[in-house]
Amino acid sequence: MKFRMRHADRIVGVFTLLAFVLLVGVIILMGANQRWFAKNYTYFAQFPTAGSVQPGTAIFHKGFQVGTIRRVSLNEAGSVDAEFSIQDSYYHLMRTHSLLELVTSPIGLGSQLLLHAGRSLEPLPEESYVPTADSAEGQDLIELELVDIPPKDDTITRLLSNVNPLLESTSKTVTTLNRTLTELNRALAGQSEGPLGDIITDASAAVARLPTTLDEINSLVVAARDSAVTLLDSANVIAGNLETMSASFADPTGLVTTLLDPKGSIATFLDDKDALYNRVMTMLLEAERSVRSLREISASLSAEMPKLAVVLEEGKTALVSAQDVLEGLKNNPLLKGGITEREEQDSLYSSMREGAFE
Amino acid sequence: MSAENASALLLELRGISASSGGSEILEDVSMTVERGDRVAVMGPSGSGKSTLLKVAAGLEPAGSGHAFFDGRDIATLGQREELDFRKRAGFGFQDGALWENQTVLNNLALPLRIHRPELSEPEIAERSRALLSSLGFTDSLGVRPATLSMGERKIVSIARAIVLEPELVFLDDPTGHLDEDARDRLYAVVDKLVRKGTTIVAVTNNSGFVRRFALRLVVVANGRVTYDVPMKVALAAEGLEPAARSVVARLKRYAERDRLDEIEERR
Amino acid sequence: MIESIGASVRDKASRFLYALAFFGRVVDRSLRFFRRRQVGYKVLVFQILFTGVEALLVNAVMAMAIGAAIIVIGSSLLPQFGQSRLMYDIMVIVITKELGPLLTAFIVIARSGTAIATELAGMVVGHEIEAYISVGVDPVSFLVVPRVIGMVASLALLSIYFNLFGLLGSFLVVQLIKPIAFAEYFQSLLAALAPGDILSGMAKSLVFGVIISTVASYQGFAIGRASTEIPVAGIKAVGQSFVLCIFADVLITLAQYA
Repeated sequence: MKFRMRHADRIVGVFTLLAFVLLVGVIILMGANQRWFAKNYTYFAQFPTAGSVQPGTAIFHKGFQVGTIRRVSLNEAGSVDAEFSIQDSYYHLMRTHSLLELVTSPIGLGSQLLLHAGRSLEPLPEESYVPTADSAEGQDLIELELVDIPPKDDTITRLLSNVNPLLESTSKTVTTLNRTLTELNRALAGQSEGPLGDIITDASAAVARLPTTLDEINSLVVAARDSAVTLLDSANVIAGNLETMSASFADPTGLVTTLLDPKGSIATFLDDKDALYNRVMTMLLEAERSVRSLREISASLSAEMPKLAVVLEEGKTALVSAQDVLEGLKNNPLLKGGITEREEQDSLYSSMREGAFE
Repeated sequence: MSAENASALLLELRGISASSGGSEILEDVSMTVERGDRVAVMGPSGSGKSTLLKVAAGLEPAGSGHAFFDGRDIATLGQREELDFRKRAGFGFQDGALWENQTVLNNLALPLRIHRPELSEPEIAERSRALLSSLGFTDSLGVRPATLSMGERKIVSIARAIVLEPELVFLDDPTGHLDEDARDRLYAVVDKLVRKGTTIVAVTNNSGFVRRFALRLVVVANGRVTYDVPMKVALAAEGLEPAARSVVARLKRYAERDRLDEIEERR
Repeated sequence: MIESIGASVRDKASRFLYALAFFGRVVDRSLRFFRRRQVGYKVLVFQILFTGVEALLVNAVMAMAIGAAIIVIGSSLLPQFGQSRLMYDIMVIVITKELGPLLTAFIVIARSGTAIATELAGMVVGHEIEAYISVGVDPVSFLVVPRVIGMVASLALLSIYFNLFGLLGSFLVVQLIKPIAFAEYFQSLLAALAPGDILSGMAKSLVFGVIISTVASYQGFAIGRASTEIPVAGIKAVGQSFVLCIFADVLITLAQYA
């Protein structure tokens, strides 16, 4: 206590000075860190709405902040003029054809404004206009591949996590389809001559394409790491294949129709007033509808991967039923075996979804 | 404003009333003190004589009435005038009222630092030491008041009141808590003040102090000035040597009578 | 009944006016304090010593505890929402803008608010205030102003230290439990920290300092003559300071976000 009293002036002096030094130090560090003293380059852009581009919004390039929105104003044409600045250390990203892209998180976590560097060596002068990815000009730049657009890391991760269950589901569908055809083969054993032989060849060819599709999807998983666009294309391919397959089922000259034709080679075994025929037709229509909706969805796939899986699931179920019918076809008239009890199996996709969303 | 051309009147109280917590302490008190006068204010305990002194020194506000120092109302002094008044009027407190968080030296040095800025710190220390030793205080000046006895505190307090050599000194019970030795030294110091012509207003019930220094006797009872005469008159009226004692005796009778009156009234 | 209400309202009003006048005088004398070097300088130094330096330890411990709690909770809870960067914003808001100044104020109220109120009340009871007046020293200039300025300075300095310990000291504490990378932590924190945050914390410290010291001085002076009133002055000073500080805190925060 005595010591403190005697050196009160000194202690208070140190106490005060230290605080000031620290404060000034922190402010200088803050300034350096927040680039108060660095030169910024100013550019302009236009957005349809200022909703996600308020002043202060950060502009990212590959996860690094490279700039900030400074000012926004509504212009007479009804769109939003924005002025933004790019830090001098990232000035090299500003080249002819550089563009801004506003990415909105699919699960509602806000949005990110990204800067993509143009594929050109010509630097973009300060205060020029930078197009956005939604604009016609931006779309052109992307289509002409004048912009270097890196994969969006978080979106890709989410897509990939969805692709695996999809693959599994597809492979199950294919297996089921193979078994169906085997059953059919066995049912018609020894009668592969004539139209039936052709039909089976037809169907086999359709199914034979599926493993290829699987491979495609497999390679697509790898490719997806590079391009989300390719993934969408491949999804279209899957859908296309499935459609071809179901079309070959539904074709009036195809497998089942011929199979069930009263004049067909097994007509004598099927004298049940077309009940079986109707059942198979319904199921095939169902499968076809599923495949059609799959195609619709894949056209606008963006963030709809889960729906694709659901459609595949539906298609599989329809095919399983078809398999049952064919088994009945085999057993009832010829072998009098009836349809074997099928053990209910939880669909992989729905159980996965329950786990993930509840 | 200097003493030469000013009037003889130094302090004047006009119709002073004061109250505390709803009870009247002073009622319509008027009195005057001339330059060089030495007034003894006497009266029973609780009669309001300490309050009278504090109101006169501007330390407590008067409920009504005015106190004038050198012709100016002390309630409305400007900052400079206030400083001037404080420099010219010292106050010795009844219970010392020393600044507990300051050393004894600082208790004396603070008034000097404020009113005599031309003095250097060593000079201030020297003056303080000399004054205190003339009052018989020989302890270290670096200690805090808490370590002092009541008598020593009283001495330091009186020293603080006169360290600026004021022309008017208020003393509230200057002899209280003092032993015989200390009292003699106090008398010696007051003698010096008297030789310099200092005006003194002292609240005391010490007849020795009154007989030695007072030129005028003011008796306060129940918040009123009941007796205000030159000492000579008081002494002449009652004979010489036993007069002071009889004044005190009469005060006691005043007090008794007033107390009886009060009891009578309450019935 | 009505008369007693009227009397109490009149009493309250006159006391409020007196308090306002007191505050005005304090402000006036504070401004003069800087114009000339006063004898109160030493009181100021001691006030900073008692209020600032001696409260530093409690202040630092509290800051580090709160900071460490935010880091530990933030670094384990926030990533579950994919918002781990929010931790730095939360730290800045809690330590720099909101809790830091308020907790520092609470520490200072408990330590120095009571000390000032009881010390001044003791001076009133011991007639020391009258003694100051009798030698021509204005008690507000000499006793209150250094305490106000000392308190304001101490609070401002303490809040700087609170930030330092809360933001950096807490990092060291967390290193013992759950190591995180310093460079990343420090840079993110600096990015989250805006000059406005520091300014806001400072403004609060200043306002709180003025409130605590003025209330404590006022309550110290407001007692009568009895020594039993001294602790009452301390209690009143603490209660009023708490309420007024929280009130001011809410007002300042609202003013920023409104």
